[in-house]
Amino acid sequence: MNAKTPSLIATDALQKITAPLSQAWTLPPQAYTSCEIFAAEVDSIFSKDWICVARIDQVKAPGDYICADLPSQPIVVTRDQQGQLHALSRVCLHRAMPLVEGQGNTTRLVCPYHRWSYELDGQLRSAPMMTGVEGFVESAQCLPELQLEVWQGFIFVNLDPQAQPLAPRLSGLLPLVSNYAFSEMQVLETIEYDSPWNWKILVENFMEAYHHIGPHKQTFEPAYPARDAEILDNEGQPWVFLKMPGGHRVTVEEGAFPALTPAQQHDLIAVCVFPTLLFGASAAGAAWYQLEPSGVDKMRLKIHGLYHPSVSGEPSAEDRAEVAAMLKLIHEEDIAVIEDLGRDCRQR
Amino acid sequence: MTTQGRLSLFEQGIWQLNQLWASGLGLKKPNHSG
Repeated sequence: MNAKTPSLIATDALQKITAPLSQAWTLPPQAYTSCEIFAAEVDSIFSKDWICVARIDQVKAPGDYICADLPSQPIVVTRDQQGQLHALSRVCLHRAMPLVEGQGNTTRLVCPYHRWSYELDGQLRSAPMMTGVEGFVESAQCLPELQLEVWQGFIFVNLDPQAQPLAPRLSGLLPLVSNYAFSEMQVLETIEYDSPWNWKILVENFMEAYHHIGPHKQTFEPAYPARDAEILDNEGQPWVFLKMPGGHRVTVEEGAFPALTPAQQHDLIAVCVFPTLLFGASAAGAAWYQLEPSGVDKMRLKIHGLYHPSVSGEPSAEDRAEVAAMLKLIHEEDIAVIEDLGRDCRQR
Repeated sequence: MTTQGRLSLFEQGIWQLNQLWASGLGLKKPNHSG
């Protein structure tokens, strides 16, 4: 324990959290409402752990870039002209202006304010009208670069330069997801929400099937009953794996994942790589929930439908619309209960 | 702290998340069992 413990969570509340499952309680309400606890999460979790910010297929060509927002740092992931990936602060070194937004393809990152321009590896290329400024050397200026690691096509970054590699900590998860070949998947369609609740509410919701009997009683529950769901032992590693067997209730036609075992073809899976990477898959397809917390009670949520180009071919506009409609249907079933939960937490 | 709720045995995923959260904040040592 560290010195912050007593002020963050009362001792009895912590004991209830850490008790064995059969004796355990939820997090206390302030875990979802306290600005002090969110600040501690930013310092101790979001600045130390590996955070998923993009997919490899979103930056596949030289010059591609995509922006993401960590709670304490706006960043941009780039692929330079040599094909190398970089995760950079996207704040101009001059006056702290964000250099770019969204995603696209470019030869350089150019600040819209005073036209300072940077190479895609973060090196300052030019700073107009800075001649004569004592001690200013363009070649010595470089955007801060973060550690970057790719796992199963998901791009992770880490603000901690001393962080240990991620993949060894996911070695127990890899065999559970490898047949889905996430490395080869591409983003098919994305829907976005500005969500007025704490990030943990959505992560918890994603990683339990108990609520299938509530908001999903007509969608998930008939195929993937809550009582059949199973959590696998993560041995304390930073991932959670939820298996929801569909069995004979799920009819498999031409699946999106040809390498699945016969049993896997009938399962729905949900995965969290702690803290904020969420993804799920069935034989029919996959989804990735990208969370960007920006405060104790707000986050940006991007829900991406994923597909296998080698299996599905080029998707049509109808395919995209169908996936977006399904993602929207499921999430809005969740919103119906999460909104009330978030409101209740704020009132406590 | 009466506003904490009891977890069901069907919420082991939340329990695992809570252990990771508490470990991440330095509130407890990493846990290797459920």
